[in-house]
Amino acid sequence: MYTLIKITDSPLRTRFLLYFIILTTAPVLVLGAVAISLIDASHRRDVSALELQLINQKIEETEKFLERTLGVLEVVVGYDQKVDIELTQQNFFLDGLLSENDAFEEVSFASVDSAAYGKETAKKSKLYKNPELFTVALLPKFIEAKEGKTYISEVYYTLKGPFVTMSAPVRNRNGIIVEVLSAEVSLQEVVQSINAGSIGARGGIVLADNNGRLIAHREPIFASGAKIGNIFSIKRVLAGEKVDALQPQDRYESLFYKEPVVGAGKKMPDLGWAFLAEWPLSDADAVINGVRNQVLILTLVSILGVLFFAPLVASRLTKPINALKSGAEEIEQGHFDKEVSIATKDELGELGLAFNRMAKGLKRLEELKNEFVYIAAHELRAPVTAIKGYVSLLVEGRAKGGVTLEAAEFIDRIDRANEGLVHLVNDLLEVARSDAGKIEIAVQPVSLGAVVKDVVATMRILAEQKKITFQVQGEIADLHVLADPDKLKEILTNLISNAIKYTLGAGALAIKYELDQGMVITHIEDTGVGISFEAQKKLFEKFYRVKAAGTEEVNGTGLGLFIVKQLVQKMGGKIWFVSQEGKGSTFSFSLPRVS
Amino acid sequence: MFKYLIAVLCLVFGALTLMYFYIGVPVIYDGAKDVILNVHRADNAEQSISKIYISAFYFVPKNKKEDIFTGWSTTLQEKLEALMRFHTVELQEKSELTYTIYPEPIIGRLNNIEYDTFITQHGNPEALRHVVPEIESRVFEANGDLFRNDFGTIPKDAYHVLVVMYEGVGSIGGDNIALISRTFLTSSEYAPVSESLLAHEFYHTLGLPDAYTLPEGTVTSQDIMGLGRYTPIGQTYLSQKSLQALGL
Ligand SMILES: [Zn+2]
Repeated sequence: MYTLIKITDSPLRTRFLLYFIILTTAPVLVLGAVAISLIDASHRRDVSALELQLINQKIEETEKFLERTLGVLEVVVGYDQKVDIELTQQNFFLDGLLSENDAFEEVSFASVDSAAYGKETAKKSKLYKNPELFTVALLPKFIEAKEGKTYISEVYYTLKGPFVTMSAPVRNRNGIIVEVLSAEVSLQEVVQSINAGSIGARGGIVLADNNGRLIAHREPIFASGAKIGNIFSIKRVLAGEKVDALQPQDRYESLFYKEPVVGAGKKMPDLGWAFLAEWPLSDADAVINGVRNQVLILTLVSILGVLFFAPLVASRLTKPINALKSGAEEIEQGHFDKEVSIATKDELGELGLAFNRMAKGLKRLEELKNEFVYIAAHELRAPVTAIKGYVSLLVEGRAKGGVTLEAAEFIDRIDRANEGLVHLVNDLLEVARSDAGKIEIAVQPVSLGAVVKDVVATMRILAEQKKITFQVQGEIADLHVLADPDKLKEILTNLISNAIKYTLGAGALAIKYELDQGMVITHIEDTGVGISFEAQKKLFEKFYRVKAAGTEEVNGTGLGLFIVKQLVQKMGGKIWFVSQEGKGSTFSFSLPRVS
Repeated sequence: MFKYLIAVLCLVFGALTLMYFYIGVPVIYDGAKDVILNVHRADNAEQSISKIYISAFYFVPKNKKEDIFTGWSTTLQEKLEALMRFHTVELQEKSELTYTIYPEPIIGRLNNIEYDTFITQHGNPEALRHVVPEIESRVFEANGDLFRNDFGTIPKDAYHVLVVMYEGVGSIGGDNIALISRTFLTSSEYAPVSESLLAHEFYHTLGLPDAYTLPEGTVTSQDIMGLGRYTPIGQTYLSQKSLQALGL
């Protein structure tokens, strides 16, 4: 079972990172998609325009060719002739037509005169001499032309390519039709025009007649005259559908190219021929695909860039905050000197400067407090010492008698209270000195065993009172440490008295030595109440006193361990402890060994 | 938290993949299929002519032996080749035409008078009546005197047509048989159009009717069934109407 963590619970840096990635990649992606879509749409319009332009051009060329050719046939003879033109003139004229027009393969006159109605009167062919003459009265080319209309037949396909039959009336000066002139017209010029039409490197045009037969295409896939009207794209053009390269069906697998193409087509108005431009997509989209890939790569690179820089930016943003956090932690530890450095000139930078000012202020407060404590303790010492002296006199007086029993008891209480006060004042002074860096330590080689022996001797009574067994490890021969003898004594006294104080009822106390890389470690083990996990963290702080069941009666200033730590550190050693609540503690300190 | 990061990264790369495959990529329309056309006889849609097999003969009546045209085989071959080219283009490569020529002239059992009619305006139906059964019995029947093992095996599925170059008058085409006078194929008078005349008779065997009126001879079409039979083969054609009849 997956459980999603709330985003707001995650580290600031990760959140920054996530938001940064989302906020930067989303627009990049959207921009990329929009860019590609826009480029694609514009490209599609361009392709459509190109194809339609080519088609229009080819339609125009074809229409011009047909118009021009038909125009040649529309002859007006220069006299009032009402009957057939003289035969020699006809033959002469036809010979001229054939020699002057490449497209004409065969030309003929047919009579409209009632005597020879619909009979071919003269005929000339490029292929052979003296063609057979027929009665063509029933052929549409004659019927249309004798009605005064020009005529273009459907396309027919010979071994020599596509042809149309054209005919036109021959009129005299008065507009009266005197002959029908018809021609077999090769569409070779149209074929060439279509074959010459190209889009891009490989795009081209397919021309199909109104019956769906192939007139021309530059890829010789189908023979001239092949029925291609059933091919989907041609069919659509012939049906008059909109085929403009923009419809969904306008991108298809071409039977001409045998690959996907984009097609646009148009039907020629009069004859209904279908012009279809086809452009293989591999060619038409070659450039656009390159652009598209570039946009995609750019998008990808941007995103990769974001992914690369996002962690850096997130780190940069959270760095000052982390600096402030560790600065605050230093202050919590009492280190007011550590300055937070934030190099930015924004609000965070200002916050850093404010933080440093605050730290300075706190430091000043701490100094003032220390000064106050020092002065107070110093000023208190004289009266307290005086009280102690007078109380001693009173106690002596009591011994000599002359003091009531009740008064003697009061004096005892005063003496004890004053003793505590003396102790407190001394401790405070020492703390103040330490804080002010005024503790003076004069180290010298000291026999550790001798000092321990000395301290133990004074402490043994206390231990025995509480039925605590005392065990000191056998002396290590000639164990000298570099220390201030008085301070060392103070350390040991403090630690051993703590061990005794915090052992409720009977117990065991052991002092052991250990050598470690030029240091001598002294362990003081007890079987006392131990220190709770909470308390362990604050044990060496000023005025901290362990509160545990059964220790309410224990006297103390809460300054002892603080002072001990300061002293050990000043003498170049370390102090630490291992403790388990209810089972006892082991305090250890190290001092440099003198060899 | 890494789940969010991974989800975002997946989304980002998913979006990129979608872009790569779908944005700006042409969709190819699927449905542009060609339609297969079946070519068949004009008067019988059941009879396919996608394969046509011609057995060609030079038929000489008994009394015309001394008139035998020496280059008959080459001439017949030339004309059939031209027909093949024409047929391939006109039928848009949808009908495959092959031929074999019987290696010897076939000397008829009868004199020309027995085969011919005098009125050749209607072709020469008499010839068909006599020449064809004779060829069939002598060449294609196993006990015929001109039966050859290497001739007369008609390919399967092919539409079989007899083409007879006849040493006599007239020309006519009908069911499976096209007969044409040798004169039409060899005389200089008909030289430009001889192949068209043969093709005209041949297309009768595919069921196409004449495109001219009788007896006036007024053409009703310009294609090979009408005026086009007197036009050189390179210039004549099968009209859209004729092709439609053949299934194109
Ligand atoms: Zn006929």
